[in-house]
Amino acid sequence: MERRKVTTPKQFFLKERNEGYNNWTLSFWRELFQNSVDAGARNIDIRIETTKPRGSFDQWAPDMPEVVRVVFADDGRGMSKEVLENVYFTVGATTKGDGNSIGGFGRARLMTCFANVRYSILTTDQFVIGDGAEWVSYGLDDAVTELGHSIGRLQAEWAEGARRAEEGLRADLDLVTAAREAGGLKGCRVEVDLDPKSGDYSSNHPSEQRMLDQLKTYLSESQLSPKVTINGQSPEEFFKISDGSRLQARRGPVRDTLAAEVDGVMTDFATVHTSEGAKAAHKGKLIVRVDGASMYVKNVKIDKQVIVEVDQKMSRQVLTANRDGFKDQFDTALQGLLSKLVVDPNSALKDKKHERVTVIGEKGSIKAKRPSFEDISRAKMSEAEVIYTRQTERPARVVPANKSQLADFGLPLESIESFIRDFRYGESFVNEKMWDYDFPHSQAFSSFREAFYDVKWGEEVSVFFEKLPEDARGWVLDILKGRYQQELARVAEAHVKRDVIADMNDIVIHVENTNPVVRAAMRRNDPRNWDIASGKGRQPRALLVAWTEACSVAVETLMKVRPSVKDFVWTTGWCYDTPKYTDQGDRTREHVTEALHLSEGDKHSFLVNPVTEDGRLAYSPSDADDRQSLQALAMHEVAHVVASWHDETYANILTDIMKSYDFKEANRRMRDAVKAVYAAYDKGRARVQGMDSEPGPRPADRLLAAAAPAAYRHDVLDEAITRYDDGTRVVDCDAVGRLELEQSPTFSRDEDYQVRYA
Amino acid sequence: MAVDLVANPTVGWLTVVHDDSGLEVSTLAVGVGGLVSVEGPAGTKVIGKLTDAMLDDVKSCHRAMVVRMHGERVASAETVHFINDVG
Repeated sequence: MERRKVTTPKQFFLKERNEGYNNWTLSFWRELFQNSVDAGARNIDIRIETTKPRGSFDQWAPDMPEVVRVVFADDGRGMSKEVLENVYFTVGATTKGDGNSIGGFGRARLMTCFANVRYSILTTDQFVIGDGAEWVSYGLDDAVTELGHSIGRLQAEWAEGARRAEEGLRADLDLVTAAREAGGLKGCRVEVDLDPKSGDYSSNHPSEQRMLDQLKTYLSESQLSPKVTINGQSPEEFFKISDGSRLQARRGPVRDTLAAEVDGVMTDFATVHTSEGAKAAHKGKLIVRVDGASMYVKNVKIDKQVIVEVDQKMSRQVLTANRDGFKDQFDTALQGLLSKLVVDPNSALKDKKHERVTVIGEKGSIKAKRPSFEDISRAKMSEAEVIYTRQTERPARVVPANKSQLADFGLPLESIESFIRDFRYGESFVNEKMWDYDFPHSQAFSSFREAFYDVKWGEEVSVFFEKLPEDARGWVLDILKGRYQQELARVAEAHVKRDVIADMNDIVIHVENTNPVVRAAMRRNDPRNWDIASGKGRQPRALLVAWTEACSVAVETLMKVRPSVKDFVWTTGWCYDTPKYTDQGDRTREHVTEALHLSEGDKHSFLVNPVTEDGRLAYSPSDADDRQSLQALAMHEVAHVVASWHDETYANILTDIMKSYDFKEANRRMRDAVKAVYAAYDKGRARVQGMDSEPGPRPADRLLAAAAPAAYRHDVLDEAITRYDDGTRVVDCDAVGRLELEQSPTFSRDEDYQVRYA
Repeated sequence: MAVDLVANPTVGWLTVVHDDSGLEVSTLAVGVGGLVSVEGPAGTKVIGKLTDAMLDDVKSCHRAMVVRMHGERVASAETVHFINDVG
């Protein structure tokens, strides 16, 4: 029995071309360019014209008025005979599995070649003529012979169609002969005739103008490495772009990376770039590209051009077969970016590639501990609690009747949940009292426990309020509230006990943008350059401790208003940025990053921008208004521990923190911390400023000489004086005392120092 | 006449050291912008402006003293009324 293969009419390819792509006339260019980029081409020459049709093989020209002929030639690797036969003309096969090419599933050639009027391919030592699913290939020698025969056969015909077919074959013969004489063609030349009346809808018929428009669009979205010419001209000349700009979308700085789980490991697969200047021609668009070649474009609601560059090695894994979408988990990552762009474009597109250093402090990071609800519900009853239990009269208060009244009572819901869980497993402080004959609520709690048998997990809190009588409920809530307040005080004490001057915590320095003045300030504010002995870093260090205290109170508040937040470690530091124009709600205006939250795992950094654009310290921690600004920034950044983006969740958390933030306590702690820094720096130190330019020894120097005559005579006083660029000098009074003692013959160091300098 | 200002923030003293025998000071004042003036029987006299670093130190000062030098010796030293608008 004869076995037959499925035959594929050209209509199938046409349908595939018209319906398989969102916009096939644009995809047509994308596929041709991608093939060339993959083949390592350095030059791409495109010819496009509307002309009379010619025939395929040695057939007469078809009966149609005109075709749009596209010739796409590159100087890349080209295709061998084996690749042509086993891959190019085998639908579903691809060579692009080596990780160095963009790669689809071999569907593109259905659109670029098979669906069209006719096509020919000249590559390396092969010449192919095709029409739909039919094709024939020759080596160059055979091609010359065969083309000669075909021309001979057509010469006998006088019809117009035969003439045009013969002309076409002669042109092919010239090309093939030239390639044969050159020892083969370097690269690949694809010639396709498009029917300008075919297409999915009338506006997408491949007329010459339509194809040129799409070519221009494609080039404007891409940043291709090969040099491109169109009908012998550069794209800019051809499309008459006279303002000196290039027809390409240059990618801006990296703002983010996209990552997805690949084989169980989170892997970066794309970088996100933005541009917003005048040359960003695609503002409001997100362009997905591979190696600079545009894949597809989405609209986004921000006034920036966003480019997502997919890692070429992963492109086959990431992109769908038609390369106009992302697959599975990669699409989830992209959707995440799109959501962020809509909800919070400014934060989503902050520069994520930057300098960052962490100056390791002796004390490392700070631990933010939440109140331990397990301790609250499990600790044995104290003597005071036992006495309170025996009392028959309770203080006047409103006993919460449902969970929404808990907040007013001063207890977080988590404390009740924790208590019920422990009670259920026999581990709460109530369980141990259940069998005491003098425990007045035994019966009530027994009934409460029995009620659990009929309820589902998650409904226990409702049962607590419904089944427990008010007397018993009020008693247990009173004890829980007392314990919770003690726990809060314990956690706060742990924070306050930090010694802010004896040593430092880790300090993170994060640089987004700078100018020369800010860079100079960065050196002054770098904790590695601080030195109490020489007085360096007094002001920035004071600012840092004030900022740290503002954050500390915000962290404590967060743990109070969101008690389920897991313990985390945190530290503070600097971020540097210079103003740029961004959308600020009412209009675009100059905006600078004032503070920043960074996180890695459970470690959080709260950074403040310490300087203004002119390099001066932006805040004076002695100033009440500045302290208030620091507190506001601290609350803002600490809220990011729970919610990364400025969405509704974030807004709720920030509001809760602001409602509970203890400004008085924050002010007190900030002032105390600053005083501690100043006291450490200023101990035994005096700063001198001359108020005029009179010549001769300064009055203050003469006073110093009178106070330490021996040191003055021996010319060593300068050792105790540090001179600054602003003309002031700092005298280390303690050092002056030591020098005087060392230089004076009348006093011995050990015995008389106390007498002389007491 | 030469005038120096000496700020010792730890102990909170701001001292004017000068060698003008004709200068009598009853009040020392530092304005918000760091402008320093002295007041005495002869009226008010502005003696200069503080640098930023000095201004920071002066913020912590709450007492003032005037020391008059005569050559290498201290001719007089007395506390004066202090108006510190930056403190």
